[in-house]
Amino acid sequence: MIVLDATALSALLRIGAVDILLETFPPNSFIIPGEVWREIRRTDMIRNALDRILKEHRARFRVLEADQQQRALASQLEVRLHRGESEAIAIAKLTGARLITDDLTARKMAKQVNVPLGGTLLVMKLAYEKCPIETHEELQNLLRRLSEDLYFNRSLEEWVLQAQKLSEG
Amino acid sequence: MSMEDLRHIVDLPEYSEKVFQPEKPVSDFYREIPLWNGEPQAPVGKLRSQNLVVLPEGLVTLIDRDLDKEISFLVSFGLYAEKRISASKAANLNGMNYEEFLAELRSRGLRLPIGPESIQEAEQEYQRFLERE
Repeated sequence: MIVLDATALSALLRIGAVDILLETFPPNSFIIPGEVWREIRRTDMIRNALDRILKEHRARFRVLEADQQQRALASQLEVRLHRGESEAIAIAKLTGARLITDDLTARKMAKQVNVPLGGTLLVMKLAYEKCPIETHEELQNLLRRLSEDLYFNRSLEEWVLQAQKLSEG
Repeated sequence: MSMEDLRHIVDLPEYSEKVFQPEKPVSDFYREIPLWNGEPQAPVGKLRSQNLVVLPEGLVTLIDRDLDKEISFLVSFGLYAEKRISASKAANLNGMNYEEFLAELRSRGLRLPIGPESIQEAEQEYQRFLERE
């Protein structure tokens, strides 16, 4: 299971890469915490894109409301985090799931509670290695679109672009 | 004491001078500020508790937007960059959602910094993420 927060889900929806995410982690289902779901659907463009994806891949996604134990952990994180990110970390921690988030502070807090995590850049790298992203040009194009709203340094872009197809050894 | 009551106090040049004396502890100029209406005139603690701040005039004149909103937005973005609050929290504190916060940054020619921040961090995440496959 992989938990998505608003930063990751929003980024993947904006660059049209949710299909790529699904193909990169084929056996996994994706959890969208209830608060992330409500936060992200407040924007028309994102809501429409999300609805399109869910119509096609409903079985792969689950909107999960945090239970009492998860809420208790989440509430401890809410001084610094939005409720959505707090729930994402709490759900990942208490279900043993991995977390995908790009947010600097959410990542820091997730690491403090020992949740394995990655970001959109990791998804891009793995997607190229496992072939959902077929060509280097496509990978470059996705990174360019990602960088329209998000900042990551040049060395990390290179790190993603140095990905090798797993089938090529 | 209302905001309006305090407005003339924060404009006082001598008060600004007291505030911008970094070598003196806050308590020193608290004692030096005379009473007004039975209360110390704008002690720093009071200003802080009422969310009032003193800014250099040269800085204020450069801000051509709503000053309160501008300071709130920029401080929130700064706190995000320092990893003290999340981007959605920053958005929320400014009455926006995450997408609106991104759009506001975009309108200023800014982008939201994301993690990982180094190749070493990225490699560690990569290894750990794949261990759970």
